[in-house]
Amino acid sequence: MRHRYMEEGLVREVEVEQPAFAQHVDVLVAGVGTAGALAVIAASAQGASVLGIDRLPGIGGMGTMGYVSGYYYGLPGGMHVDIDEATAKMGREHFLDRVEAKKTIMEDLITKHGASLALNTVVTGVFMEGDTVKGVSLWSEGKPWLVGCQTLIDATADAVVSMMAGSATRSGRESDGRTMPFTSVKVWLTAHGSISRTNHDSGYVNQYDPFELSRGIMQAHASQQLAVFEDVSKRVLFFAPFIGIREGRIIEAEQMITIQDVLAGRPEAETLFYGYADFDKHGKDHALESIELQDLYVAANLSTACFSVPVSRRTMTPKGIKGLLAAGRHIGMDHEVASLLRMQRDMQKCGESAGVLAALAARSGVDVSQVPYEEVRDILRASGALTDEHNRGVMFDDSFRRETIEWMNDPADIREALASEMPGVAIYSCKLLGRSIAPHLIAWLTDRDVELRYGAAIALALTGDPAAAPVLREMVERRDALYFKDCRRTNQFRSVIAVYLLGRLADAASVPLLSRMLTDEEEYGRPLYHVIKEPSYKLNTCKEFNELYFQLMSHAAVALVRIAEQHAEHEASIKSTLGEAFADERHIRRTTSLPEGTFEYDTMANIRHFTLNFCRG
Amino acid sequence: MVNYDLVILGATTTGLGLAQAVQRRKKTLIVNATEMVAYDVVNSYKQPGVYTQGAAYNKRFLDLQADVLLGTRTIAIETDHSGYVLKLHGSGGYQTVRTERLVDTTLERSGKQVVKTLNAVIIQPQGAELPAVQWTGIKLVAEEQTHAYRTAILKLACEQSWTLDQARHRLANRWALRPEELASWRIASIAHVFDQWTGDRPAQLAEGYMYLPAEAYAEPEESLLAGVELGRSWMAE
Repeated sequence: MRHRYMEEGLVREVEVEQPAFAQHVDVLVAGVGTAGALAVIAASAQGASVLGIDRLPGIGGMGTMGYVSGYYYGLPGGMHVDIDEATAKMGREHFLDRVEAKKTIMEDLITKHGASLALNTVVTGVFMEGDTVKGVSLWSEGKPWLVGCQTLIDATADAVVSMMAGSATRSGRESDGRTMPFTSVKVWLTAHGSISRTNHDSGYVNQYDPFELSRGIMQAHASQQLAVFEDVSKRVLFFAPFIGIREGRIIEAEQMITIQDVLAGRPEAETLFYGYADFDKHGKDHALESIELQDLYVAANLSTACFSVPVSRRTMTPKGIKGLLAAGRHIGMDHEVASLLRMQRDMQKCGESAGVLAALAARSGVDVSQVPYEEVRDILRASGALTDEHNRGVMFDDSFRRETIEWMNDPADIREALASEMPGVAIYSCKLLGRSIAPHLIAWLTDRDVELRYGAAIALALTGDPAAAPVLREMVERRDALYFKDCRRTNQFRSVIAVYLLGRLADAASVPLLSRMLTDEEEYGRPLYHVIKEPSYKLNTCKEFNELYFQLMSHAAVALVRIAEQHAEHEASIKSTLGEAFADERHIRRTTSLPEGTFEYDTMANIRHFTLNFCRG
Repeated sequence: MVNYDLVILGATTTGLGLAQAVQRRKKTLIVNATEMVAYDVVNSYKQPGVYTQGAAYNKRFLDLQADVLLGTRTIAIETDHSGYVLKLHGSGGYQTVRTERLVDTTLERSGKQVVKTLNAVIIQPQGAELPAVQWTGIKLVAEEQTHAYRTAILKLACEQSWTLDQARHRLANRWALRPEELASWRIASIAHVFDQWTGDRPAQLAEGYMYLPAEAYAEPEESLLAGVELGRSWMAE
């Protein structure tokens, strides 16, 4: 047998004799957080012997220990619905908020079904026989502890157990490796004696560097002293005892869910549950995201479009490993989908699915991969974790706009929509239609209606047609600050969309224009950057962040990189321009006055690092 | 393996005082099991009001000329020719560091009996007075009223063997059956660490290995000063 553990960030392995397991359980759940708590409850409710362990002194993860007690998307269904109802009742009668009630209710359920918990406990290693997990080594209450198991559920949200078992993992976006910004929740008593919390983005951190992570935590908590976050009318009760990392390592699963799958609505024959949300990626540095995501989020202005995502057992199974399931935001998907498939309701369903699978495997004495799908499906359907209603397709689904999104194909309908303030669905439909709609779009480029001309140019560029470029350049020359209004938030400025698309088209003729934007000292003096002063959720601006300036400059920089990558003859001059523009912190300082380490500072710093790395390459 | 002049176990107020006193002159590492700093006074709800100072304490730790490892457990402490080798476990798995001096400001390794309570902030949103109630094993300490509401610290006496989650579960269940006089009160928050007290005095456990528990002091200023004084005594050597 092999004992695999992690040291200095690297997985190591030693051959060992048969370990002296102090205990053997059917199901061991590593991480009793959002997904893990439901895994423990579901597996034990099916009659399995279960041990749940967690590094924290409380269960429930971000919804309780992290104090993000409200839900953002995900659809209600499954065991968490009853838990939430009982929590709400207990919360009203005894607490100011629900989190303590939820911990208590879930602990009662765990006890009721005979499962055990060991908190303040960490997994230090995994025992493997061939490609099968046999047990784990733990550190608990100041002592080592070895536990054998038939199925290990990695609900650590970070794939650390899967990695020790031998799973390949990935992390972050392709452009610069960054994961989503983290949050640090601060909990307050308001002047009226109610609870409120602030849950603002706190910056970017490499959570795999323990020193950087520690500094990030202290920086995030200390930032409450900054004037912009001060509120003397409220009293701080506490900072959540762990920070909210939104994205970490992701397993290389038997089946990966890609953004292309999600956008195409790929069906899944053996669905365990559906995820449902928008691409809630939090960061403002859209320019560093993938083409697929920016086409939707930036060019088509559809940041709040919600997608249903079917999840199967294979997506929760680390490739090539037996006796192991993942449950949580580290199941097999790409970076883009990781911003969508992470909401608490969905992760609770994920945990419930894993728990049921593992219990059925124990009952039959087989690996989780051999449990008949129909058996799991029937149990999940009975609990409500899996219903046909959870497959909603694509929707706007908020108080601003609640309607199913039907992609368009009638040129007359598209023409009308492109000339409107809400052209997003038409724009993205043109991308899906491709060359068949191009002749219409080209004809509309010369229309007298400027809104139609501009809408048509954006849509045409998404089909990859360079004929759109002159009109896009015109939009940028004008610094067109009109923003579309498809969404309740994160609406895009038209000139920002144009800059993005010029980069996407690798339009060499726009090099002088984009270069001037970044290096002309008079650029920042233009009135458009100083008109929007009030925070607006519709635009996602905030007091200490110049949204329009940031978006234009960040997209201009990344567009120039894209052009240089396609046109070797411009590479040297573009590198020179970018090197000059980002030699100092001028663009950071024009974007925000907040200090290094804050989300606002780091957002422009990400662009600067990316750009300077390109210049050095 | 990274070498330090000093490793402090516990991001406590005492650890903070010690690190401040020796910074720039001793290469220092602070190791803490949780992600909470100054937890002995901020996260335990030991004293009224002090728990609001979390940001300030985080800033003080952030500004230290010292390395800080949060969320890191101390697995083993071994001696070598002139100091100590510590095996740690954190987000990167195992990590080994070496130090000439070691100061433990926690109670994690003492193995002795401590007095411990699990505390909670309770609130009466309309501002009614805290009633005088007799409640076995539970003590209520009124806080100064600064808003329209009224708050108090509830302290549940805990047995030595109780883990934090066991104590929290008992507290929640006791609160659900609270005396009628407290019916209009609600729990605003339950502490994330025990409020502990030890009668232990500072002790030299071995050459270069000090035991200086923060939880031997009643006030944050005292526990901070204990660390400062130890550091200054070294600087005067």
